[in-house]
Amino acid sequence: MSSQVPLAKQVRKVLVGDHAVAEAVKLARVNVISAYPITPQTLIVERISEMIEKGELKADYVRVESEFAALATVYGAAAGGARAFTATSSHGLFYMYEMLWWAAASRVPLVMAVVTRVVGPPWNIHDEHTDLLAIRDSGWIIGMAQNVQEAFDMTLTAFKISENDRVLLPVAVGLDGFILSHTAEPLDVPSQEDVDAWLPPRNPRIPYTIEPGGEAITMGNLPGNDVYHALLKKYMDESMESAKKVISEVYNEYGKLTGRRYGPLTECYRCSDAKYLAVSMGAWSGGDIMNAIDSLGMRVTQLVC
Amino acid sequence: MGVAEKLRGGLLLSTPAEGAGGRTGTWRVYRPVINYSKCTKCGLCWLYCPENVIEWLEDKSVRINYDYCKGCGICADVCPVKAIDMIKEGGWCE
Repeated sequence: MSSQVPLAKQVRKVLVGDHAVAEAVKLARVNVISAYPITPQTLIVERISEMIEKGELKADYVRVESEFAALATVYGAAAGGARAFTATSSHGLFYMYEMLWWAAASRVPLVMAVVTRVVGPPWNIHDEHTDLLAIRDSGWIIGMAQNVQEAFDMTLTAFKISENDRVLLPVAVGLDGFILSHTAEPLDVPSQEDVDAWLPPRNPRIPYTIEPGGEAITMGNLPGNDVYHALLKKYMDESMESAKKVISEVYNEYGKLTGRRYGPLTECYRCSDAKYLAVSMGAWSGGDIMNAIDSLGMRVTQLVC
Repeated sequence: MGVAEKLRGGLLLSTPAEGAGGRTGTWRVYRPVINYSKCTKCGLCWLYCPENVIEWLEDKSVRINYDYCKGCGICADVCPVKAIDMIKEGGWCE
């Protein structure tokens, strides 16, 4: 982060990571949220349902029978032109595994928060990244937040990145279970007015809209040519490459708006004269861990993803 | 060409058209053959065909498009006068 006078009016709040993500979803004026409201669900969708109930967010909240259905619902909503969001964790993420691939290869913009958590057995609710790592090759853009502020910022920017016509891939925002999801930290939240100006409503026509009475199209049908599958994957790969540039552009804009500048993809602490490189992502990264490594007397630098 | 345009033309998105799914007639094991001397031109086979490959012509006679008929046999099953025979495909002669 660098200091700069931000353009946006911001309010300092104290929120746990889950509630910070919900706040970003509200400010993004998401149209459709779907969730399976039982373990391993998080406070994110609980808070969003409260926001809708109180009228703070005008959106459709679809309560479904499983995580598979939750992702299928928001995927369908996104294919219908809506800005859509869901959240999950560990076993829930695995329950939606098949749909993750359909959503990504269908090229619909979508944002999902993943509270990273241990996959059993033994039955456990603590922090680990193996759930999120398992979706690495699915075509989703994956980020990990280092703190509550980043969880908020990453969620808000994810919509703009996912909806960019050079990207059109879904984004998973990871935040460490308990360490971030249930830890209250101060964060700065831009006003609705400023977010509206920066993040306009989604263009429902990009990349395509499946709607009653609309254009008669079939999505994902058996292709007439076996090469099409490879070609579709190639285009996904190209978009993933473009995403690096788009993320940089979006973070740059967001930096001007809020004064908070990120990576864009990685952050490096003391990379110039190190003998060893420690690579980490999420809430385990940052200054404290460097101090701990320093106390061991090793010249180690850190690359934060 | 943008990402959205690349998805069209059958790669991810296809539009309804004759043969959009390829020549599905090659999948056929049994071929429905109409016995026109028995056919009463009732149109039930046209109505029931799940692939929409039976034409009901002006004179109420029916004709099967073998390029796309998958040979499911529903037409033979519903025919009230047993005017459609399912003949095994094979060999080089029609």
